[in-house]
Amino acid sequence: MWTLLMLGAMAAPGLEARQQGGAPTFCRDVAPILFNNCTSCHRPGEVGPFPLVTYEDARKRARQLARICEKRIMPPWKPAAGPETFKNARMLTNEQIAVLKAWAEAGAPKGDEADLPPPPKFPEGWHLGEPDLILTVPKPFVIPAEGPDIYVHFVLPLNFKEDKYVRACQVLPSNRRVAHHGVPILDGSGTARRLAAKHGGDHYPNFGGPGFIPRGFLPGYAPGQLTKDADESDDRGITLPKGTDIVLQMHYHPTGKEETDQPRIGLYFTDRKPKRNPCIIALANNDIYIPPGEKAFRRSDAFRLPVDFEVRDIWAHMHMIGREVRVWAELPDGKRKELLHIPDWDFNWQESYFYTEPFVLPKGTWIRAEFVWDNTADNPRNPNHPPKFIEWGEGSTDEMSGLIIGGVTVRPQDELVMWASVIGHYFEIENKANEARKRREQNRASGRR
Amino acid sequence: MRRFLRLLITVVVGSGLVWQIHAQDDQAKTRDAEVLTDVSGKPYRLPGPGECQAVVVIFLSHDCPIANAYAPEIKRLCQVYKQRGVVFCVVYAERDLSRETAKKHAQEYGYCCPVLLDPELKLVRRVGATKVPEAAVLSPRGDLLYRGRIDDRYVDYGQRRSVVRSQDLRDALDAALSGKPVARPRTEVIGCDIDFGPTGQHR
Ligand code: HEC
Repeated sequence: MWTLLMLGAMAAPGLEARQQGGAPTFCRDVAPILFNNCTSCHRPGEVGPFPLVTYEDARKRARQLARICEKRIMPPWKPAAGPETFKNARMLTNEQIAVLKAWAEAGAPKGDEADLPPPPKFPEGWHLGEPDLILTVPKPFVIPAEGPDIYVHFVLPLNFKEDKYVRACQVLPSNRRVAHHGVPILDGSGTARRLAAKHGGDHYPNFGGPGFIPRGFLPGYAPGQLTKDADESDDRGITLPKGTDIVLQMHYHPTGKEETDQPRIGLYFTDRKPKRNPCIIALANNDIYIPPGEKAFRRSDAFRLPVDFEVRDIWAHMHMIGREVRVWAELPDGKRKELLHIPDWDFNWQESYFYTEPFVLPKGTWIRAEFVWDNTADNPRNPNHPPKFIEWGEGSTDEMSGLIIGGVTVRPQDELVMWASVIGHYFEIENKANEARKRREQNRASGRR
Repeated sequence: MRRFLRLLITVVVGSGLVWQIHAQDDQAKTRDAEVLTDVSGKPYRLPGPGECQAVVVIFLSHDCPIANAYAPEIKRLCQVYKQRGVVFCVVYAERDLSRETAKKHAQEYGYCCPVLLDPELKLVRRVGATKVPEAAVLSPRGDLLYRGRIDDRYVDYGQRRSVVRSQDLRDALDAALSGKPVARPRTEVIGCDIDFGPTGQHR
């Protein structure tokens, strides 16, 4: 413990102060950690269940803060450290955790108010001012008091007569206490409208993917995230082709009392046509049939890049008994590059991870993903007790696998080739799963398992 | 002889008196711990013998996510066991909670049982609770029959079971109501620490 503390003190700024002043204090040492890493969510009206702003806020739960940060449950961040870092990473350093521990052990002293940095300011409402167009989900959506997390897709038809270019987009839940994430997905196929109509209105549940291949995404909502404007010099606007619908996927976490949310999307347009449009790569393996008691059921998928591709962000998806996801690239020269590793999958915290430095993967690179599920009784998140067979499906007790990598083709003229290849891969995924299902049924019919 | 008798009587009666005074003292202390105010400011005394079959106290705080997530289950338990003569109350174990905040919170979460404030942590200390949501089952005479979690829904912080496997509070109540000893009278609570103040003094 002491060595840890000393290490912490050596690496952290304020070493001298701490040696002089003994134990860390709230004002000098703890407040900066909380303000920079916790307050974005832990303030009134946000998703964090209590504020972490004042001395009292922190003092009365000092031990719990230390404990939960030490276990790395907070701040919520699932990817393991890898060669690539993420812009939106939320992580404390070992030194910061040591400070929180030492502070709790010292009885949570307040210290000198002169040391206290000003509390952080966060923009309210529309971060970039009044949007050019506001889309509102027609009716407040009710989140029940308890039960599994909720995934809902709201269909917001645009009915544009021509293509439009988006420079910025903000998703604004009306109730941020229950919203874990929100992503506007572009649908040019009309599938989402049909799914919503089948479900009797303007939304449909699907506990997983949206039920179609996304034509693209707009920047979404994650607690504490700021809205960015596409820089004039940069080519990162997004085209909304005419006929596109926006499908807003929202993820809600029940809190013990019924809540409602009526999210809005604010769009900011530009006349400047983006030089390149965002493209996606979608990986999945739908051949999922997990026997009860199976500790590590594995499925993988691979996609070969038809053109040079610049990778910008990544998002993985499984349901409750997902355990682990690993994504890597095998370059034509034989080198391997880790893209994402989530060693301890948690359905409650999934979001897009944005690479600090986008990077190019050359044509011919294989992108591979492996998903692992744990269908034993040891897995507390198992929706069945005792465990049962779990198959592919969109309900909360079914399983899915999914991976979406966002980026742009290096050459604008490659976009179409890329899109065709992604669609082609989608049908491969479907075919593989269908064949496996048929084989299973034949085996079952002939009395084998 | 008469003097001796008088002495004897004095001693016996006297010690009886002393004993009685002691007993009254003890009861007064217990009762003192058991008189709290509810969210509307009215005093509330935990029911005693002849008034109920058992008392369940559940300690809460208004901002512990785990305690809040249990609200629907607490309400269900309260409904089910009311019919069997069990009195449920929820108690905010918070030193600095205003009555308005407590009242608003209780309304929002729809608690249908007495909702009490324990700013001095009297009942908390009497029962020995350290976390929210910690449950205690008391006999009508005030004996502590069970103290611990409501069920095993939380395995750890940030790890919640999809299916509850052990209904600890229900099991304790079922045992108590049928006059049997509680199989696991103490269980560990996953939740938020009760704040015993800057000195962190437990007692
Ligand atoms: C991205 C938003 C976010 C950030 C950033 C964040 N938290 Fe949280 N925190 C939450 C949410 C949401 C919950 C409630 C979890 C639940 O309901 O399951 C929570 C719960 C907690 C809890 C209670 C844990 C429990 O399971 O009862 C503690 C303690 C906590 N956070 C501390 C921190 C600290 C310390 C930091 C900064 C180092 C931090 N949080 C950063 C969103 C956040």
